Amino acid sequence: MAVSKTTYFIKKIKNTFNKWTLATASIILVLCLPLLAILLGLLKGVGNTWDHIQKYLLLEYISNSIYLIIGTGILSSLIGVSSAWCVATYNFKFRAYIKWLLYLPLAIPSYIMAYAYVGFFEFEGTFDKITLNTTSGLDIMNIWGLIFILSISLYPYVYGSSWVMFTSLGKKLWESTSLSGITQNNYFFSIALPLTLPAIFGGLFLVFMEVLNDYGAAKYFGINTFTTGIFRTWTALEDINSSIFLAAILVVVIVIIQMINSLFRGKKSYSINDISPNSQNVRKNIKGIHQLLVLTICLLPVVTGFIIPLLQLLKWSMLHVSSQLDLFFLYLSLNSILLAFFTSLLIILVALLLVFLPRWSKNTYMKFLTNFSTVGYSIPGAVIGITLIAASGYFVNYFDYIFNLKIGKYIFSGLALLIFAYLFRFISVAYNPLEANTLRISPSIPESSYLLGKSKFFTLFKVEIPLLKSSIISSFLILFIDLMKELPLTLILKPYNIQTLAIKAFEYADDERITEAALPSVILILIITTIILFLSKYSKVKAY
Amino acid sequence: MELELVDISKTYNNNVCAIKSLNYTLDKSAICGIVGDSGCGKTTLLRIIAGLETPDNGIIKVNNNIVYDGWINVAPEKRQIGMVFQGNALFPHMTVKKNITFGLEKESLNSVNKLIELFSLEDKINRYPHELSSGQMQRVAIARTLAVQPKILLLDEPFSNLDLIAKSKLRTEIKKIAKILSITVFIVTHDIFDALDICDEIIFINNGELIETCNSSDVKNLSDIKLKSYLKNMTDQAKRFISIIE
Repeated sequence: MAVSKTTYFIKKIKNTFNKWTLATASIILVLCLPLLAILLGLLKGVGNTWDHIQKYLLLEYISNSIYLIIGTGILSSLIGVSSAWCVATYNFKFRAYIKWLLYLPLAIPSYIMAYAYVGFFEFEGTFDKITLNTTSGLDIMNIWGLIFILSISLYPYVYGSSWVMFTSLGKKLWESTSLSGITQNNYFFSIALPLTLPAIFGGLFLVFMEVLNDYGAAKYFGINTFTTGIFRTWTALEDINSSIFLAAILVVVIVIIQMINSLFRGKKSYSINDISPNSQNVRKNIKGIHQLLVLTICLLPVVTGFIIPLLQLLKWSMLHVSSQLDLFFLYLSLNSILLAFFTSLLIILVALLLVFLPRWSKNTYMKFLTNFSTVGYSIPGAVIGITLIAASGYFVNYFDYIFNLKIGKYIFSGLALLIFAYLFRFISVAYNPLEANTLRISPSIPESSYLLGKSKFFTLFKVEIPLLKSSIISSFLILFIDLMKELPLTLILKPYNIQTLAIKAFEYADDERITEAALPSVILILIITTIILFLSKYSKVKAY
Repeated sequence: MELELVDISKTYNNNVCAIKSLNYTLDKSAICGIVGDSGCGKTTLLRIIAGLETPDNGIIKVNNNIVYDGWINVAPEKRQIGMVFQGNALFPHMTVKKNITFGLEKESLNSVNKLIELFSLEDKINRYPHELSSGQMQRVAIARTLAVQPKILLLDEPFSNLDLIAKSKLRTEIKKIAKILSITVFIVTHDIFDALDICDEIIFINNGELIETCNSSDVKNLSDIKLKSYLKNMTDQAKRFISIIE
């Protein structure tokens, strides 16, 4: 009996741990290396400047980060939810264009938005000229200014998630509540808003992560946050241990925010039963003063979040276009595009493997472990960058010490470390939508292919990938945009001979050559805007 | 084609026992019906035979070759067993012709014309699955499975979404094809009249347990009390069947 039980367990283990389990585990392990490095950094303890940080800086980092999160959260929710409600509920002039224009602030990285607005409001700047030199400019280089910049830059995350939810609430819900005498305003506060809260919090969570990830804007405004503090501890104080310790504290804070978010969303998850086009909201036609009001609510974020900064940057770039626009700029643009393009391809490929390998392994633990490898998006780029530098340093020293191999130049002078960091940070941008869309493919479709004698990879390429085509393309484009804009990771990990548009813009601004930062910024914005417009057109075609 | 199932058991992660120590041997090419109520383990049994589910215990042999025994686990794509799923699982992005030829190598593409003719699909070959009726989709799914010449054909509720005329046409076609190709066919159904009409042998399953096996011609002479009491608890159709045999 004992023998048969043992045999049973051995057979079970053999069937549970197959080659797909091994492949999944290997990818997860590699992707979790930065997480392990952060944990090890915590165990290693603090460096010699920690007392100074704790005494004079830590409180400021914490309070500024909290103010930024709360302020940006409130302002971006107000902008995002109000514009989403107007677009989902009313029919007004140019609505079809405005609903996509509201996404455009995503094309301008927040640090570039910060440069543009400082120039716009400075003494003798555009704002001063518009007001006929009566204001002597406005000083926005404070925490309130930063909250304004981050909010108009990040509200599209809240707008996008709440718009989808408001649109899918359905005409039946509105009809049944209006029959009981509820007005549209009451409907918004008592029915629509509570039902949309989980989606709003989903968007807000992304806003919080972006606020914590921001380095360029906070540094330019001189606001000390956790992320600028991590950089400063590493570069100015030259204390990498304390820097990693700060990073680990930030990761703990993010995990807490994430837990609160999932707790809230878990308790308040509502599902919409009928999502057919006929069941979607019937929009109310509006005219006159009502239309003007709605147009103002919807156009104000586009004007402040896209048009004003773009015009300001265009004005500056005209000053230097003849001297700046040369072959080097072409090289810079190509560098950025190629790096973003090939890294996006790699991330899509790894995300597809992460979606399908656990399925093939049929091992439920692998599915659970996959969640750990996709947490990178919640960890600020600066944290990942510094941790990887430290971990690679140990790795290089270990190889040198044990095998007498000098591998440092290969690790630090190539793009491998940077691309791996991109992969860790952005894998969830591709993984989450691909995983969700794969669930919509009936399992019997790939199973039919297996039973027709086809292998798992053949089925993946001939059946599953074609069915996921639209999801793959949209994930690729979103990744491309994120990578083109990325600053802190690239700044820390890029080899000295590699330049991107984002880095060039930051370097000019950091040297107080703000007008020269305009041209790379404008090129970057134009590339991203083209992709956003393509994405909106593509999703319109696919929304059947 | 011989199929042997020895002591097959399957329990899902939520401790639901789908199959309990099931033993069964079919030693000839025949049409075998697997009859039972919804959730009794019929589909799980088909999926285990196909290799899509791994049993917790037991041995599966096809033509005396072990395809599963815990140590050996032949992959579904290598078992030469074809399965038509409930809801047919056609590839939505491929035409009828591409669906049917999906499993074939280039050199054997000509052989499908006979199948297309057999299932009267000549004028539908360039259509996509969503442009077909339920009966036509089911016929395409069966043709696609037969195109790769499986040793055993498994059909999971093939008549479930069909109207009476389409159902009757498909029954006739399956009988004809099984005879022409001398292939072993397993049909899962909850409708005992479908099984009586088309099958040579019927297996009755209740709560994952095989409770009776018999030839469809002998089913009226069944005296097994356990089977009768089980059938009494089955659907209205089964109750009608009980009243006929009693």
